[in-house]
Amino acid sequence: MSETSDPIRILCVDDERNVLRALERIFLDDDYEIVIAGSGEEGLQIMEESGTFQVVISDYRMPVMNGVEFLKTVYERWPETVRIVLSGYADAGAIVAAINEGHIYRFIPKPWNDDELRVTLQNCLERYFL
Amino acid sequence: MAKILVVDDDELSRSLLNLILQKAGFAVQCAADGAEAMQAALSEKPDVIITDAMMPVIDGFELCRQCKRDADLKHVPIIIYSGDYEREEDQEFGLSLGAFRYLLKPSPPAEIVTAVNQALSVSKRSFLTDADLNLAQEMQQLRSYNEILFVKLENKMKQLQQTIDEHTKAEEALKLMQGQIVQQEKMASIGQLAAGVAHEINNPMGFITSNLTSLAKYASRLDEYIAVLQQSLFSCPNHPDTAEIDLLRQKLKVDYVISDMCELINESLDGANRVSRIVQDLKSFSRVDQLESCRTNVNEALGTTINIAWNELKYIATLERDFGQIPDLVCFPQQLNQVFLNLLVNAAQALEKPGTITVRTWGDSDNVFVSVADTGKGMTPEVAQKVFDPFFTTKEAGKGTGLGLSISSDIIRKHGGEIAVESTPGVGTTFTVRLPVDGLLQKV
Repeated sequence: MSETSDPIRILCVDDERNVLRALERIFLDDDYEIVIAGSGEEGLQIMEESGTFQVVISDYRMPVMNGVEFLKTVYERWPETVRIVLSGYADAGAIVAAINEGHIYRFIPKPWNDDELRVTLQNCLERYFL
Repeated sequence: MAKILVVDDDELSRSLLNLILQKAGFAVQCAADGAEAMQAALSEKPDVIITDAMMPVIDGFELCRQCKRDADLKHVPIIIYSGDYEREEDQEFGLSLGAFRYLLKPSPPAEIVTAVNQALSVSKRSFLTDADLNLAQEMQQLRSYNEILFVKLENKMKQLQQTIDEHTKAEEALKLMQGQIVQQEKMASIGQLAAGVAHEINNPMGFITSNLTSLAKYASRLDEYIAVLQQSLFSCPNHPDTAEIDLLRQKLKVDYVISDMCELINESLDGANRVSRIVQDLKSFSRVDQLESCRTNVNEALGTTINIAWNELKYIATLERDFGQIPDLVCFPQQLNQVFLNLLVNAAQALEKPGTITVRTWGDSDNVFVSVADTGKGMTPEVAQKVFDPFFTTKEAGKGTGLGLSISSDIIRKHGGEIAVESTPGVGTTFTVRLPVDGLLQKV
């Protein structure tokens, strides 16, 4: 549970808008502010301009800047942010690279289970506020 | 200088003898077969003839015979020098025809020269009497000659057959390898395709499932809200629009819609989950990303493969699963999946009318056993014996390559195990696979 008065902010990045909309809907009843971005660059821009995010969820396979590159940058600039990859592309080598290079906390495969995703997020937030 | 006539159809042999004899100080004339030799000898009588046996037109034996019947040539000593006719019977025959010596190829040059010199020293003495051979003796000679030729021919035929057999075997092995390679490549590219398609399907399935869940949430809230509204509305005695609203409610079948929303969403979720599961099974079945062996539980692999194969099975077969407790196994799961798929599809195709396929697993600490049994038409022992042979199939032309079981048994063998079949025509067939737990580890 959040110990600050500011709402918890979660950034979701995916090149497919349908995925972003579905993610927004999952947290209907949670006290989170969900912000969506259609690319890594847009995500970085939003993070620069609009303040702190506790959690960043990103797709792995995106054009121009892929998930690992994006999350690596997030790690370098905002290291306390919890980073999650959400991806249908489950190649073992890619997963390992993502975890190591992007310093990723969790890899969630697509299709995801809504409840599992919410629980994972709760765990992430506990971790953030440790 | 003594004149030697060298007779041989092989140019190299001729040249060799020519060289050897010339070096030994003889004058040499050459002929390529018995007929040429006769001509040469009749026009200019040699002191010694050294001849090969196997030659076209007139061979060495016949040359010997003809020389001995010629008044002029019969005292010329003949040395038969042969590599083809080397049996004792051949040699005896040559000598019985009046040859001075029978030498076997290859003989050292010194031996050849010695023989020629010895021949020269006795040539002054007549070697064969002037009396002609009587008819009986001639017949005997001819018979011996025939025998010799026949034996030679037989041996040659045997050699030829052996060569043909070896070639045929090599051809078959090549065809088999090519067939297997094509099949494996097909499987590999199907695997690649499956993995790519699986990914493409996973993405939209992700948000479809998620949205359906969200929709269920929304529906439930609207349901609650509408119920409260309706309650309030219809309990209000003087509300002006009650009748109109009630009519609309009936026209729009609101009651039905609300009651059905939940089920509709659940059924859709069910369908979406089935798609997700089959995609997962397909990915797991093809495991293109895993080219290394890994520890697998065969029951899981079988479960996945049954799901993949279900469309082939469900119309004609009742599937019975009897999965026992089995240890994990180090293996190449996508290869084993291929074997199980092959057995399941074969079982379904053996069923001419609806029947049962029973998949059983059992094991101990050393081995895992899998059996796939069908109640189909079965096979005779003759067919059962050949069923693992490459390219053997009981299906009509164009339906199936006949390679499935051959590749399957190959895969099982590479895992250190074995596959066996038992069948009774009209009753059914059972394939049993044994996989040792450390089969792959042993094959290092």
